[in-house]
Amino acid sequence: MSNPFSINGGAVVAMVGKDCVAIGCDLRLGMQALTVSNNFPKIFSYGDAFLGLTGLATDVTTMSEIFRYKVNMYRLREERDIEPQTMANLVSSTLYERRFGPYFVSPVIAGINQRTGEPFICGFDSIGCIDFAKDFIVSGTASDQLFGTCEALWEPDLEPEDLFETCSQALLNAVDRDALSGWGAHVYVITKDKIIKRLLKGRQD
Amino acid sequence: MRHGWNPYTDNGGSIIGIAGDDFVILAGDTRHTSGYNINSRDERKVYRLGENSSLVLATVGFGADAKDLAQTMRRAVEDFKFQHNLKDMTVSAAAQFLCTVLYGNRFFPKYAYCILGGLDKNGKARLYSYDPVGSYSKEGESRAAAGAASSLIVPFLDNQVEFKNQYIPSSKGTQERPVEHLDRDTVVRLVKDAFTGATERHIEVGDGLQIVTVSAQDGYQEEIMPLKRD
Amino acid sequence: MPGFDFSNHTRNAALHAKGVPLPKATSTGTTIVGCIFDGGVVIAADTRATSGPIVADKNCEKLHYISPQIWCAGAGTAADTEFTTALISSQLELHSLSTGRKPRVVTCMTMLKQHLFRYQGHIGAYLVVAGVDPTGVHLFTVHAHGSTDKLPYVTMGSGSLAAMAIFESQWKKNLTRDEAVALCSEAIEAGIFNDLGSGSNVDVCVITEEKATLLRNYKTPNVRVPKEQSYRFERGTTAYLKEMVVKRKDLKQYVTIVDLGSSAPGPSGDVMELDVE
Repeated sequence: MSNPFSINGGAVVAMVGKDCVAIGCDLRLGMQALTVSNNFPKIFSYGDAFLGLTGLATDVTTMSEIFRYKVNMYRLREERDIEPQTMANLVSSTLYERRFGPYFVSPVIAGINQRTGEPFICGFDSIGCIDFAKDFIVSGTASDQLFGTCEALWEPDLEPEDLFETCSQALLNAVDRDALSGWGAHVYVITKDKIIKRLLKGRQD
Repeated sequence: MRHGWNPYTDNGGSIIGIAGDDFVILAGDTRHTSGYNINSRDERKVYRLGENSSLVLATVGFGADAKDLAQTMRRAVEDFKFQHNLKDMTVSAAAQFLCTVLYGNRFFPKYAYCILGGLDKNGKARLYSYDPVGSYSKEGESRAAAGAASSLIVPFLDNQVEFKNQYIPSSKGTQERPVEHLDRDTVVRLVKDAFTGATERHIEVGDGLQIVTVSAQDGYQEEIMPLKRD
Repeated sequence: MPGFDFSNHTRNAALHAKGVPLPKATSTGTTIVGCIFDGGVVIAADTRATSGPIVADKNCEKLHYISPQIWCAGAGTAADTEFTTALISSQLELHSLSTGRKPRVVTCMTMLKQHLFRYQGHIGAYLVVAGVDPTGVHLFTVHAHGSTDKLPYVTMGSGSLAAMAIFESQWKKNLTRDEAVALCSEAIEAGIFNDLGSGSNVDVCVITEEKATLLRNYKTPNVRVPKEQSYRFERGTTAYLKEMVVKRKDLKQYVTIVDLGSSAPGPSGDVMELDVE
């Protein structure tokens, strides 16, 4: 028995650029040393807001479904899409509800506020403390490695194409040094009018 | 039986070593901590072994053991000359010796991670890194990092020294970017950026950066630069 | 239904009994201080949030709004300080509307201590509560187990000893506003430089009889030096196998489930909008 955050493995990173955001995840699902799947994406989209979830895989799946329900209810009541900032508070409250029996996840949100056009990213710990960052957010078993690569490679005001390169390089090199993450990666680059999703070529080990 | 006393303390800090073609750079921060306290802002971790030799040793982990190992190695390099007719200890001999010393304490290890660097008899750079009980690779390495922020620094070096995950843009992901030896100034810039990044994100890294370069042309050079003190 | 949901508790307790460690929440490490001066009160805090030895947030906000003239600095588990202060702020606003009076600092303190005591210290919130109300200027500390102190100057958090060293050498009665702000800021800086759990910038909040002023990033003694070089990559450096471009106006109205019967990609049968090829 070990730390629930490192049974299944995984990594997510989000970065801010010039009027754009990028969010990327690895694709591995493991049972400790055994790799069970190389197609377990950890980023889920809810209209304008993208949610990345690492941690215990069952809680990742449960949380993605809980938020799909909550976001759909929001859309029905408000008759509009949820903004990333609002979703952040929704995630935070949902996590803190379980203060004394938490979900073992570390969520990351990325998106562009449709009204103001401002890029937005934030991260959470497992009980809902919001970390608003202007530069990048990391999460998962490779979070130390991701902190190192992001802190060195990120610079402000990167154009979408450059942000894609920086985010991808930060993610790939970090997960290559983590035994529990990797096996491919998805990176989304989100701008005001379009979303580009790419499947990266990475080490399959 | 639960013991209330732990013989080891983690004194924080980080070290890094990068080997170029004919120069090797070893660097370490100068912060010495225990728990949330700072013991010293200027405690060096990179030592020169022998006055004229090209050997440099960096140690990190439990400060007392780390320092003691450096003393042991220093004495060994000096004694070698007396016992071997004024010949200098070669890098590979020093590397093997350090391995033996560390394994000699296999059942009460020196809690120190070491990086040993120097120039071999052809003037080519050699770098070796060790775990606390002496495991090292005889062929040496091109880069190594140890200590508190090693997990932050190593992937960055993978990307910028070995060009991992980088492809030639026009090849559309089919040709990897070729690895070439870096020049000294580029490596020093990488070391500085690696440490400023580690200082931002790791509480046990900071205060000052000690960079030691040993090269065939310019010999031994040491540079100290400040890091953030919070 | 409002309040805490304990349904995961049994599962987590069983896991913990098997040896699974409890998750490491973001803790604020922290140095927070408060100091009364002639005419009001000043509170200040550093801005570093840590998760173990790693800095999770370099510029977080530890000064929380409770009511227009009551502010609170929080140390301990970050989520707990955030939600506890938000809860009491909300309760205090309703209370103030109900009584028709400006909220009092003692009321805030009492609500906090009664809430925290009920949870026997499991809510890790260590707070410095300060404000001005019709009865005067007040400064309190509230500990996670529910104890409180009323003092003219206070420090809390892992950097509290470094900050208290400054207070004990330089505090005197009847400080002026500027002297108090300078003293608090110096105390926080002592924490920032001498305690590893605290760092980055100084936030200050000055509360007087007429208003409260939040001075976010009052001091920034830890700006990162520019990097030695840019690490911008040439476009095309990263290799990718597939690419999908979705125009925003094409996104479907709702996130939907696609029946397993059709050739649906994806791990568990439900397909996200962007996964449709």
